[in-house]
Amino acid sequence: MTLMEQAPRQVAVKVSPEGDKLITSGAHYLRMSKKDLVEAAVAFYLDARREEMQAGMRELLSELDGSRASRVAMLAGMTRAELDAVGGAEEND
Amino acid sequence: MAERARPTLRCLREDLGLAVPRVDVPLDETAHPLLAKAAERFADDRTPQERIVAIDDQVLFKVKVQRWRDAVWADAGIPWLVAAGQREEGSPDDFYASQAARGKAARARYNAEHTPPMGSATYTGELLPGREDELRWRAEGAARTERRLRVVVHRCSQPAPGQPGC
Repeated sequence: MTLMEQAPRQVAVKVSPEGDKLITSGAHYLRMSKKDLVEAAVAFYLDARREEMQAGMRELLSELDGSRASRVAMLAGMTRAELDAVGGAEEND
Repeated sequence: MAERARPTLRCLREDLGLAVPRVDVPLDETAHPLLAKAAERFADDRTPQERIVAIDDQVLFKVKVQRWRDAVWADAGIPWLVAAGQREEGSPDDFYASQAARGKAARARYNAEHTPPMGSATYTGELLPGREDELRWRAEGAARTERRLRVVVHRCSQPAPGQPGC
């Protein structure tokens, strides 16, 4: 595996027209770029909901029980029951 | 170029009588003469197909091999085997007639329960790929991804001599 591939320096984020108006207006009055405003706002928001995020991560990790089926179910975005209902995963693959 | 043919889970279990394999085995690799024939028939978009004319609410195509008969529904380049069966001796199109009758009965049930009624002569929506088929599709992709990730993680954690880890 190589990590030498160039990561993009910036990526586009799509927002609704209403969201864009808010960002544009906020950036204007705060005298900052829209990019800086969005980055700061996201960091602020995630920090405010840090405990919820950590709980979500713990819940996600608790679904991993060391089995291959749990990893496949998580990657597929489905429950173990749903995975088992459509065939299940081979543990010794 | 179409993707390889795959059966719906209902078709696999009920019509072909096969057990659902683990998601590590893609359903388009199911060993069955109908799958092989459908894959061959739909490999080239220019291959003319024979429509099941008695079914008019969806475009379903015929695939025949040996005594097996199948109805194929093509969606986004994927030929789905949505119904299958064997023809009875002396009745070459018996399977397709029974599918049309099934479609008419399903339409009658649908119209008894829904308003406005369906204008077509048949209803085959219940045969088409549904939520469990979408889950199976996703799970097969996740199984492939997990296998690739495992190789990458192993390579990163145990780099070859003289090679840096990830």
